[in-house]
Amino acid sequence: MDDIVIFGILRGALFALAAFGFSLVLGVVGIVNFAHGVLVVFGGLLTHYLVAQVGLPYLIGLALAAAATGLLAGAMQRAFIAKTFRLHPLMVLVQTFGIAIVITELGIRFWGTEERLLRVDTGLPPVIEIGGKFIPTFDVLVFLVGLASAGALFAILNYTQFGRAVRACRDNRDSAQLCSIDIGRTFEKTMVVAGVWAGLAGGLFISLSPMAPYMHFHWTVDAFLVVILGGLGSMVGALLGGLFYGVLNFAAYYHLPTLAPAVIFAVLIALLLIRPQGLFGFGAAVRK
Amino acid sequence: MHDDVLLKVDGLSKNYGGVFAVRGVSFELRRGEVLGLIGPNGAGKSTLFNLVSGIVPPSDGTIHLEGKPLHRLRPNEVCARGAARTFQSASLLSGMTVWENVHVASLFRPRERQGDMSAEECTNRALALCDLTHAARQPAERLTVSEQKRVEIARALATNPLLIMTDEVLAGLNPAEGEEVLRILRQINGEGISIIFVEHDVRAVVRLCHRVVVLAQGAKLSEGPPDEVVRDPAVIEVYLGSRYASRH
Amino acid sequence: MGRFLKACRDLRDGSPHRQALAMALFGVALCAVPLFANDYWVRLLVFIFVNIALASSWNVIGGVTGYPSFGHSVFFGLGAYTAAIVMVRYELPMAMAMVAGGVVAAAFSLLFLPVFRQKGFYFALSTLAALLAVETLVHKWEFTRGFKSWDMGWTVPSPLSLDASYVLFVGLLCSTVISVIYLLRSKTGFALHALHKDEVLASSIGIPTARYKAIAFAASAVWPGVIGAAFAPFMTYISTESMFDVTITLNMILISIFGGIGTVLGPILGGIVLSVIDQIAWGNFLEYHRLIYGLLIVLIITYKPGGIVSWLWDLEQRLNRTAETPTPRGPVTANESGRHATIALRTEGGTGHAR
Repeated sequence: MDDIVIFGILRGALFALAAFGFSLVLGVVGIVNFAHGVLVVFGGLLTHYLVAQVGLPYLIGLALAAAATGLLAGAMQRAFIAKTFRLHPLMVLVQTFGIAIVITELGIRFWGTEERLLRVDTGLPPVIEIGGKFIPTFDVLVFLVGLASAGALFAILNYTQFGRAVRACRDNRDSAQLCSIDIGRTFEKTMVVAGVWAGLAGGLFISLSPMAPYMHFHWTVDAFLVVILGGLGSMVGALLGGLFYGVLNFAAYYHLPTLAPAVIFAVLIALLLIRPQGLFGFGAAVRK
Repeated sequence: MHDDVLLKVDGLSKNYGGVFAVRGVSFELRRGEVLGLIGPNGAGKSTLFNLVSGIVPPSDGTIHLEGKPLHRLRPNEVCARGAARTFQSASLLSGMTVWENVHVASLFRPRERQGDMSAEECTNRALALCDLTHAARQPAERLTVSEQKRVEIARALATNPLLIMTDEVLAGLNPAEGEEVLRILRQINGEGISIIFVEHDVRAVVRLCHRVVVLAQGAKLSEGPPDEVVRDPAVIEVYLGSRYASRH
Repeated sequence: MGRFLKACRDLRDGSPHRQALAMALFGVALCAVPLFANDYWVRLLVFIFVNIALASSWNVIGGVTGYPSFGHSVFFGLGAYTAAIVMVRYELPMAMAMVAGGVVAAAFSLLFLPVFRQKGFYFALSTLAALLAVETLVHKWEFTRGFKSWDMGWTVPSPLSLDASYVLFVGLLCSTVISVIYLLRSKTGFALHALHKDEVLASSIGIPTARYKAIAFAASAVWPGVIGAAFAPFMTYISTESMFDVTITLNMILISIFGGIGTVLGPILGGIVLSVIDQIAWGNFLEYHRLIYGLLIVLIITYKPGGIVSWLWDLEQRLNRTAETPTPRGPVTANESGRHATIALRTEGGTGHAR
């Protein structure tokens, strides 16, 4: 049981990283990005390519892949979403669905459909003892990097001008415009940030567990679940939600591997029924 | 004159993260009455409106319609109980005619107050009362502002309500059109429907309403017959500033 | 051309009975095809009919109500697997399998009831999650995976000949489209149109929005369930990869959008045109199938959200220079559900003004 909690939390940091971007885009641009999972997978596979094929050191490959993912997300916004986000929001959903398919198919052309896993040599002892338990060192490292990047994101959101613009757009778009904040550029930057953190999550995850192009929808759904768990619009909620979801996910796959997705889905439905503002959300649930 | 209490709002408050949009507002609407609701911008009229119509849940306080609680109901349940409303900004359904726009409301009017009329008869009656019969076939996009406002009223009427809340229904109308709307509202009131008349135009309020409630900064400032309220120094001050208040 | 289009417009604005009749006649005409076409074309047409019918169903929840369901193929798959289990494991007749398919699909759709009280995107993502969950479950659970415990799919023999199956699918297509025609003109149709445009408004005039969303979803799930159940014996072999493939959902969405989202005619036209494109591209671009579809979805939404149908009505207006009815404004205001003006004709006394 403890193992599940520990491993769940370790993985959970990555779910949180993936969810941050999703939540940001949802709050700021106001759309649900179905192509979000694609960004995670792209980041993971690109990291693998840079490290395994090109031979770059892991951290460099990771950083480059994350940056590239950010650019991809920015391009998505500029080329397509910028033209349609004023439409019925659910049409934009369909558009991002299409984008997800296109990028995935292009990715399959390049990477094929099989799963890839990245083995990273850290030079540290394979397991580390914490509180009497033996935990793979690498998982802990990944967790720490995940937390650190979450911290970096918080810092950006709270202490930079960009962060202020992003929060303004999220809280009150019309007022933000009146303060001469350029909505279009803020959206783009938000998407880029979302892409970077999603790519980072993918690049970290691929060192723990195999990834393949077809998994992107799973990641989109995971990000969505984390956001529901943590409550909409809250970064702290997304973090806590991610950790919690990591445990839930791990437990489900460990105890009931055949039924795990169904169990998670059932939990989702139950959550929406009982506590739609999320486990950690504050404030009343808003109906559409 | 009007004795029977139809709608009772008691200590209603709405708190948005520490800021009170509406604070402890209480008033009554009596059956058959036209109650005006005025106040300067930011006084909380819209919030109060949304609270009563069920779009926003209250932080505190109660609302009762015919003695039964209204405050935790969803908007469609509020409508089913008999409280209809209009909307300020364009809310007509595009791609449908005027007739169809009103007919949607007729189709969903609550069974208890359906009476013997079919949905079509209900729609026609509502359109006739609002002087829109000639425009019934027009697509909703092609209407003048005056016609749009009247469609809003017709649609509220089609739900067979006990009371209608109008949301700045005179905004954007010239005096002649405004007169027309006031006449229609009087006629509707004449059929026994109570009205909560939220409006900026104080003169219209004075002419149409039996009583007036004044809101300022989320709280009730004054209440009473229109001519009294208009002369209340507190009210004048909040609208025009203390210089004017001291002169009266 | 202008006159033909005007006749089409009149049909669209006319009574639902005429539209239903037109569809039924079309169906009867289609039944004559096997008399002079070879098996290849007959099979191909069945696939096209299935695609159109699925798209029409998707359109009810995705286009008219404005709640795109990204996991909609789950109903098709559930129908197929229900038929497999009913026909192979329990050896019951195909008709029962089809009914069971519809029932199972509708029942599953009701699981989403709590989701309808929340924002629209919760629905969209929940359907995707549902598809992924059900696919995994069906694949791993012994009872549903296959007849024998090591099977990875079901072999479902068909009691019908190819031509008989063809006629069955023509019937299913017509039933689906005709039921959509009547649904859109009913009280439910009004409710859906209102709540698509503005849920708060719809609620304020007395429409119980969550309930109607659930009704729309169930209505959009039934036919895919029935059709899936008919499809299983037609294909004779089914597996989770084929029946729950996201491409099926892609098809539904693309056909609806390409043809004209929110309309009755849209999925029909979209299905025909896309099938033609598909046929031409089949030999050359098989691998790129999904990529092309995804690309088409993105391009259409970005540049012509109203689809073929909106282009056709624009053309009709230009040719006939009518200014009566406004051109559809914007993409998904579900403008074309074909209810302009005509319902007003059924008034009694009251209005009395001629056009």
